[in-house]
Amino acid sequence: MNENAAGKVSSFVDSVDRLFAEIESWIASTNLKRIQQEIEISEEASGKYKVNKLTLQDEDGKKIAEFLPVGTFIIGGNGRIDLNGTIDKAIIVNLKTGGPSMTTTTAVGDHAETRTTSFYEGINQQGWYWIEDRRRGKANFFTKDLFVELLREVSDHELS
Amino acid sequence: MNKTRFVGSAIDEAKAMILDSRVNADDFVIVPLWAIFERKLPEYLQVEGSKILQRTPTTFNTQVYQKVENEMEYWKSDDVLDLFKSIVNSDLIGNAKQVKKYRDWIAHKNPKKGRPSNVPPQTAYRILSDIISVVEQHPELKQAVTTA
Repeated sequence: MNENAAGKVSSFVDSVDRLFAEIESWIASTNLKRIQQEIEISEEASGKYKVNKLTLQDEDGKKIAEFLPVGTFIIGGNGRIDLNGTIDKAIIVNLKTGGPSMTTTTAVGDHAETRTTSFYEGINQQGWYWIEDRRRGKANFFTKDLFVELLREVSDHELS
Repeated sequence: MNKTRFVGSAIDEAKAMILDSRVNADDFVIVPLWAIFERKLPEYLQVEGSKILQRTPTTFNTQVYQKVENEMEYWKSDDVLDLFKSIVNSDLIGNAKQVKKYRDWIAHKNPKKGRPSNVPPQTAYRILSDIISVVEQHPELKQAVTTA
């Protein structure tokens, strides 16, 4: 693995761990149990590396949802985690401030105009975001409120 | 219904199948997305190629046009994308090539090879639709459509 790839992988693993630590703090006072397990990811740009996945179970040990890291070499992002529930899934992407963008240059009269358009609205800080399917182009920062909402959507589970 | 494997399955098994298909559905969305995009781009090349015939058609320019028209479907996707670099930002063209690479990996998954750069479906849609948008707005191609 070259230095650039190693650096990117290391940042990704750190950001996954930080996100999982946050999620664990959100569920600390609930009846959900959390299990972290190491998995291996293989990406063309980096080869194999290890990262944790996070599984949430109810008090009976039944799996409610799983946060499964997909990789760090993501087009338009720095990393992707899939939130796999019992009935649906949500994709969470790590984005830099502003997010991916497109620059177009158009000839206007005798000069050129350059315009940069962001792919998504709402990326005001680096971090994990959920891109809405229904409102195309809207990115939502991954907060506790969003976590609760997505858990309801992907697993029909109400956090208590 | 019998062929879906849901009939006769225990509820938990059926739920697992539904989730499995949902998990894979997002990746497989990229396959038809790319197919539509790949069919759309040559339309603009055909418009550009037809300019050959806007002069008085001759045997020569008709043959040249026919050759381009007939062989266009054999051109590699990356080569077709490169033709649009003078119109579309080259970073976006590069992103589209990555979408193609990921699409190929999904369609012909080789477990021995590491996965290429992942493309969330929303990002793939955004990249490909933005390219079409830029191409459709380009004055050269707009003009060509008007006079064709």
